[in-house]
Amino acid sequence: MIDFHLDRRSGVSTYVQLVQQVKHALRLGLLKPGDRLPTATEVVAALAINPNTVLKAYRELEREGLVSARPGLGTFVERTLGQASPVDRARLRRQLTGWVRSAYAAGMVREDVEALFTAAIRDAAQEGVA
Amino acid sequence: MIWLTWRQHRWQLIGIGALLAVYWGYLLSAGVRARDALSGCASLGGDAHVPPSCFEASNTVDATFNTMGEVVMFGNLLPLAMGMFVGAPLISRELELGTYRLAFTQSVSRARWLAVKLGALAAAAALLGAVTGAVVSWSRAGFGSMFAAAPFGDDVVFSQSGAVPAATWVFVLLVGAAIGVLVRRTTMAMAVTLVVLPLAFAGLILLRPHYMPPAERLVDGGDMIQDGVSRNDSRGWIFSTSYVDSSGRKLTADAAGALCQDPANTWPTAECMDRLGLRQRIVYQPADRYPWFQLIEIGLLLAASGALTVTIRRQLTRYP
Amino acid sequence: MSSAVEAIDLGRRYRRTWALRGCSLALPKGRVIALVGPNGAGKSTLLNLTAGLLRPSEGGLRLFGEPLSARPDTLAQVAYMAQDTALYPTFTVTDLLTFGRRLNPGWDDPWARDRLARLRLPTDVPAGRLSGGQRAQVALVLALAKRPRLLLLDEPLASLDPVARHDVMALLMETVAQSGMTVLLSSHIISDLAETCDWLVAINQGRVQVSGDIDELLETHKLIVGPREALDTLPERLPVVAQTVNGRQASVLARVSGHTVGPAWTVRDASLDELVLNYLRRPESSALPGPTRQRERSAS
Repeated sequence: MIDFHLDRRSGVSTYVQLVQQVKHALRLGLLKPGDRLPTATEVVAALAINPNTVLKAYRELEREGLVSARPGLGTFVERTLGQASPVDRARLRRQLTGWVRSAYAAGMVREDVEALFTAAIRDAAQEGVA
Repeated sequence: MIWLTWRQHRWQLIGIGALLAVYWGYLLSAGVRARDALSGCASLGGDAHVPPSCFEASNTVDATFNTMGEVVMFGNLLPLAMGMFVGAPLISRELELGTYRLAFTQSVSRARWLAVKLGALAAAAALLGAVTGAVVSWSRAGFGSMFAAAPFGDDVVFSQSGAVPAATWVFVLLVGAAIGVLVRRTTMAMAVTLVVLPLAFAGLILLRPHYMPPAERLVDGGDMIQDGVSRNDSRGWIFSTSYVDSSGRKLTADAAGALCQDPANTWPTAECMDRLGLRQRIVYQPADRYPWFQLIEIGLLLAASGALTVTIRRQLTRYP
Repeated sequence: MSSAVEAIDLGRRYRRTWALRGCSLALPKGRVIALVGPNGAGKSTLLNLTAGLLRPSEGGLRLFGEPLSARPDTLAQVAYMAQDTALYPTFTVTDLLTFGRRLNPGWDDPWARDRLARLRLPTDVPAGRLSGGQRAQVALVLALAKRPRLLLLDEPLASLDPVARHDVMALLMETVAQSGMTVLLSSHIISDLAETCDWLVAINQGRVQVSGDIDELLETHKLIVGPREALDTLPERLPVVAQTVNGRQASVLARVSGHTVGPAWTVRDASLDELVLNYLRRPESSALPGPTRQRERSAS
C-alpha cells in the first residue's frame, strides 16, 4: 500500500505529484504487481483533494500500462518500473552514495551535485546509452 | 416540527406555566376558603336569622374577596408574558442569530414551519387561557352573588371569564410574533410588545360597550336602580340612568331629586318616584346579551389573530 | 443533460443597489465549484438565491432542470451551510441530530452518528460552546446527512485554523467521492480551492466574469512576460485579460489558442491565483465570453 502526500509549495500540479509518487514507489519496489492502490475515497479523505484529481492520476497510470482498474475491486498494479535486479540496484545506490559523499568532500553543495547529475544523464543520453 | 417547537420554547412555556400555576393555585384556595366560610351561612345576604358566626365569615370572605380582586386585576397582565417571551422571539431570534438559514434550508417549507410553530404554540396558549377562564369563574362563584356580581360590565373580570381568555392568549402570541417579524431584533421586539399589548387591551376595553347598541327601559320606583351604585346588575350592564316625569319630560338625577324635596337624599327614592309619578330610564346591555358579548370579543380577537398570521406569513415567505 | 444550477439573467437588488445583476450561468453536475470574488461581489447573494433564502428581483434559477421552488422535495435536494455556521447556540450536538432527522425525510442517521463519533465531539455540550472548527464540522455533517444533490457552502473555511480547514475539506471531498453530489462553495482565499475544486466561477461587482473548468482555464490562459517596448509586437487579436507594466517589464495574461508571440516574450503557465487575481483586477474583462460558451459553440 502507498501513502500519498502533497507538497503544496512545489508548484507541481497535484495529479502529477500522485503519478510521480506511484512511479517512485514502483521504482523503489514499494509497490509490486498485484498490489491494490488506495481508492479515490481513501486518498481524498487523507489529502482533502478533489476526487477527480485522483481519478485523473489513475487514468494516466492506466494509460501508461502501469495499473489497471478492475470494476468493483479497485485499481491494481500491473507491472513494475526499472529493470535492474535488486542486487544491481543496491550496488549502484551504494556507489552513487559514495560518489555524492566525495562530491561534498570536494566542496560541492547540493545544487551543484544535482546539476552535475542532471548533466551526466544528458551526456549519457547524447551518447545513446540510455 | 412539534419536537422543534417544544425544544426551542420549552423554558419559556415552563416558566409561564409555573407562573400561571401559582395564579391558579391562589384563586382555587381563595375559592375554597370562601366556600368553607359560607357553608354554614346559607342565608348570607338574606334577611332571615343570621347566626353570629356568619358575621365573622362575612369579614373573612370580604377580605379574601378584596385581595382576590386585586390579584385578578394583576392576572390581566399575565398574557403579556406569552406575547413577550414566546411570541416576540419566535421569529425575531431566528432572524437575529441567522438561524433562519438553518431552519429554512431543511426539507420543510417555510409555510409549514410557520403553520406548525404557530399552531402548536397557539394551542398551548389557548389551553392556558381556557384553564385561567375556568379557574377565575369557579373561584368567583364560591363567593356567592352578593360579592361576585356577573362579569358583564366588569372590565377586570370580563376578559378572564368564559372562553375569552383562550382567545386573548392566542392573540397576544400572534401580536408578539408579528412584532418580531417586523422589528427583527429580539430585545426590541419584546419591548415593543410590552408597549403594544396594554394599548391593545385598553382599546378593547374602550370598544367593548359598543359591540351592540344599548337597550332602553322605563321602570317604576319598584324596579329602579339606585344611582351610582354599580355598573353591573342582575339586569345587565348598566350604562346610565335618568328620569322621566309624568308629562314625558326628561330629568337628570339631580333635577329629579330636587323635585322630591327629600332632605335625606339628593336622588329620588322609590317612594318619591311613585308619589310624583316619575319613571326611571335605564340605558343598558341586558344580561342575556352576555354570551353574545363573549362571542363578539372572541371573534374580534381571533379575527385580529388571523390577520396577524397572514401578515407574518407574507413577511416570512418574502424575507428578507 | 441538464445542469445542476442554471441561472438565467438572475438579479437581486437591495433597495436601490444591485448585489447581483444579469447573472447567467450553467454549472455542471458532479463538480466541486469554486465561487470566488472580492468581498461584497455578490457571492453570498448568489448562494442565498440558490438556497432559496432570497427571492430573485429579476431572472430565474433552475436546479437540476426544475425551476427553484419552496416545495419540500426541492428543499430536500439542496443543503446549505451558512458563513457563520448558524447553529442554534443552545442545541447540543444530539439535539442538532434530532433536528436534522425530524426535518428531513432523506436523513441518513447512522452515517451522521458515525461521523460525529469519529470526530469525538462532546454530544451534550451546547453548540454555542464548541470551537469554530467543531461547529463547522457539525454544520457540515448536518448538511451532508440530508443527502443533498447540491451542497452550498458560504465561506466554509473563513474562520478555521489550518487543521480544521483540512478536516472540513477532507470530509467534504470524501463525501463527494462517495456520492457524486455537486458542491458550490465560496471563498476569497483562492489557494484553498486549487486542490479541491474543478470548476471556477469568478464574480465581481455583481457580475459573472469567469465560469469554466479549472484545468481548461489553466490550459488556455498563459502569462506572457517581456520588455515593455515589445507590447506592440503582440498579436493584435490576442485576447488579453489583463496586462501589468512594472518598470521595463510587461506581463500579460491572455487566452492563448494557437497564437504565436515574438521571441522577445516568454510564455509560461499561470497559476490559479494569478488567473483569478488578473480577472478580478480588471472587472471590464468580463466581456470575454466564458470558456464554456466557447466550447459549446465549437462543439455545435
